[in-house]
Amino acid sequence: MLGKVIKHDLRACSPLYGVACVISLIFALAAVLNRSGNNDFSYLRTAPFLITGCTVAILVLVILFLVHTALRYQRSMYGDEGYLTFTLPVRATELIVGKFIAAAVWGFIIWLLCGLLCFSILYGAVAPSATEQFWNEVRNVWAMADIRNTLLLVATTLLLGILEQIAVIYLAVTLGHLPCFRRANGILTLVFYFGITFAEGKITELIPMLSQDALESSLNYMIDLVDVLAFSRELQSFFLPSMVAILCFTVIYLVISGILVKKYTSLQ
Amino acid sequence: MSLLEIKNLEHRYGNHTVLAGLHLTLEEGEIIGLLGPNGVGKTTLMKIICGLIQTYDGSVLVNGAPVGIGSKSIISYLPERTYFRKSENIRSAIGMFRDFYADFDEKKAMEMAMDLNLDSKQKIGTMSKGMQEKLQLVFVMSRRAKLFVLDEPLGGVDPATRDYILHTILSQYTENSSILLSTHLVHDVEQIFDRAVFLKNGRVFLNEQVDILRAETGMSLDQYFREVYR
Repeated sequence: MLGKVIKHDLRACSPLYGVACVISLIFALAAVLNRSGNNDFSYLRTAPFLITGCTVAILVLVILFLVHTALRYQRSMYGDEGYLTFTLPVRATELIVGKFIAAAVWGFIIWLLCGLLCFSILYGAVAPSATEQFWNEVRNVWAMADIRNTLLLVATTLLLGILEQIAVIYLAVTLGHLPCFRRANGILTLVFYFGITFAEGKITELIPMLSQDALESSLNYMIDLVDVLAFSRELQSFFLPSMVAILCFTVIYLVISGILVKKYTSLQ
Repeated sequence: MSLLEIKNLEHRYGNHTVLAGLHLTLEEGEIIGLLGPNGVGKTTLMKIICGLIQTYDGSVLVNGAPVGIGSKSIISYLPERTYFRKSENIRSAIGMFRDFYADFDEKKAMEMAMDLNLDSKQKIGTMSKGMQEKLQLVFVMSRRAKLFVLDEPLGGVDPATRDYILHTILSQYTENSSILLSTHLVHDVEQIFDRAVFLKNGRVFLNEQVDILRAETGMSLDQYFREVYR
């Protein structure tokens, strides 16, 4: 049944995300292809527009994804669609996990697209005459293991952050629709969302490696560093525990959501 | 083993008690009318039976087991509202029912949907309210369920649609299953009921075969309904 939940939730989101992804892809490709001529001047006429378009596309994709994740979960669980969802012969755990995986798949696609758009912004801003220089720099940076690993860590942490946001949204919506709250569920959802985020921040500060003091100390140390490789190594020491913390919080949020959905569902 | 066994069921919305120690037992092979005025608890009772409300006290057993995956796989529920996504089309809705319900008869659903002159690729959101309700009934009745729970299937639709709904219910009903149908439009449906369950003050006021009720009271079900809830 889990596979079926994933399949139908993926399908439900595909029209909206499909259109957004295609439009974003068009901007990304246009920014890259704009450089295909050798004329620096003609390229400059359209580059700012396309780079702005790519930047806006990143913002739109991220906001769209977060808002739609919340709305989709709310509608399918506590809206009219909930009358079908909760009468399907599917366990509450499978429902939550299935929806999470479907949202995570779209989150991953959007993460990839945002990465492509970032590259398009960087590459699109390079004049055609400087193409070879650009690729030489990229090769040089990628050849340095520390920097390469840091970039991969940052990208992975961002991806895990997207997954964690899905779990936070699910928990906030579930809490906002508990049977004891008969009105203002939307506002309550927002309150719970910010409340969970705030509480998570406070709990994270209790972890020594991620505390406010440790962060400030690392940042001051990194600012003083002249060596880029040492800087990237210091960054890794921060991101690795962050990834573990994010994963733990994600699992905790999903487990709590599953328990609440199983025990306290009451469609009004 | 009874098809549905409810003991001492209680449910509150805030400070308002809707169901107050309700007892009810239903057997296979009957069309049961769940009757009562608005706000008496018919919809709440049906939601509890179908697993849409889990915050209740008391015991609800469907085919001897508590409400859960087992009961949901043998209950076919028609709520008062449309539960399909507006962007969904008939074909994808059929696909969903086929995937989740082992007892779903896809061929029957397709035939009944085509009888409504609908295009399988037409989006449900573009259909009229009456057409959406008919379509939803088609999906519900296309299952070989043991218990059909139909919540106010006749409410808010025109007389022609009402006839279609009644015809569909009767034509798809089999003696291996039961239908629990709630309504306050008793006059339109009383002829199809085998049994009537009247709710009052959060409890079952009367649970009797319709023929016996008519013989004992000398009234039609509609007349008796008006008498009870005057």
